[in-house]
Amino acid sequence: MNDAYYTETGERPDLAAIEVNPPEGYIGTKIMPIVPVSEKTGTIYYATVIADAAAETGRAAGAAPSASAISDSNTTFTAAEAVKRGTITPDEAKTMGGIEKADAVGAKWGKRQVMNAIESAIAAVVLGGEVDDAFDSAKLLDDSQTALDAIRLYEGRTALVSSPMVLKRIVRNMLQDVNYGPMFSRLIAGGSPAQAATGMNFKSWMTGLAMFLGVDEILAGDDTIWNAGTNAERFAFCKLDDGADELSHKWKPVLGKTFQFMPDGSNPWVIQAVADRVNVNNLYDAYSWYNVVTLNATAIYLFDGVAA
Amino acid sequence: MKKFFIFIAVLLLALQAYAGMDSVNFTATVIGVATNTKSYTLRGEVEAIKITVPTDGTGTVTFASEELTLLSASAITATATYMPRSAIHTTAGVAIVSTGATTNTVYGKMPIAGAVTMTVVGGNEASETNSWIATLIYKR
Repeated sequence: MNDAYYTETGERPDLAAIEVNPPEGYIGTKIMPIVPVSEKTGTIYYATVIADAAAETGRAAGAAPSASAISDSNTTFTAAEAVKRGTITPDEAKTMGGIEKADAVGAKWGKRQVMNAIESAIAAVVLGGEVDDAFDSAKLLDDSQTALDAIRLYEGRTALVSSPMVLKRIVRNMLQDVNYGPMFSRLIAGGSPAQAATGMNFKSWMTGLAMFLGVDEILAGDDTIWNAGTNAERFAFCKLDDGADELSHKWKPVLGKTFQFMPDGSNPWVIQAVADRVNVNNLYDAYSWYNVVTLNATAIYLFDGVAA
Repeated sequence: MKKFFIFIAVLLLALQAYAGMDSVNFTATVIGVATNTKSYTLRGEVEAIKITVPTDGTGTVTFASEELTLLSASAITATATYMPRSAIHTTAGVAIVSTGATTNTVYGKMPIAGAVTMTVVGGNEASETNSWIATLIYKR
């Protein structure tokens, strides 16, 4: 427990810069892309779907065409703090191969916990809202079209969003359905046993489901987040903004964005390390500030009741 | 391996041939004498409903489709499996009875084709939280 195994106390931009790969199934920011902001609060101007108005016919010569105003709406965001502290004792730091390695382990763990919080916040917005319809395997084709019609005026690629567990249950229920079952299995399996075999992996079933329901993409989120609590047994149809332009919400009606505060103007993370000699420990605090803001709630169509 | 692929393909294509029994778990958490519900869309015939009563729990559990009451069990305190059946009717809308030494109503399985809702009304003290689980077994 000598000095070599205590961390360097203070804010640590070097640790904040360490990349943490999100676990597979972290799909949140594909649905609600990150918008970096330099203030913790502010006003957002965003586009909505402007109601269609009948085009004028038979206009009298010289008369001005009747006009419909097109304008943005606005709301506010407040990026709130999420923080997690990890501790690594000096003895453990030695086991981990030195304090530099322990620093990286502690910082990455703290960051991943905050990433969990962001993912959960987005999942709560996507699947935790007001339910539009109940899942019915015998009517899913019709119901999915109702959903796609409801979100058709929003921009982006259409997506079916859920968790692998719920998606597999949807597949199981459809295969058991006397009408859709044979149709769906042939769609996946093709005409030969070899093709059937290639159709057995999860990705192929998802591709088939996307083809069957007429969506561009299927996003399967981590089960521990996207199939937990209120989110359980749910799936949603929505439009995915490509995230290429952080300010796309100003001129395109999109579901929403995740506003993330950048304390130094470029990195959303603050990592603080403390060499705690009183409690004989190294502390690693990961901070981030964010707000998941729904801009167009009707850009999502939610189903519930995919039974176990 | 080739035989396995053929087996899987045959299995997929034959799915409709053995549409059979299935089960769905309904869960509802109630605090004290509160009411909670859970719904699923199901199609088939009800075979049985097992209600798992939580430890020290008591309450009333009702299962209803959009058309029929499937089961209404009051003040139950012990886990049990029920096989609810209802009276069947003639085309004139009259309950069918078998006549012999005694007259008996004829019962049959109940169809479900839509939302099936379990409603739990708790019967415990206000501070007590109980999770109820019921398994509906049905023939697709």
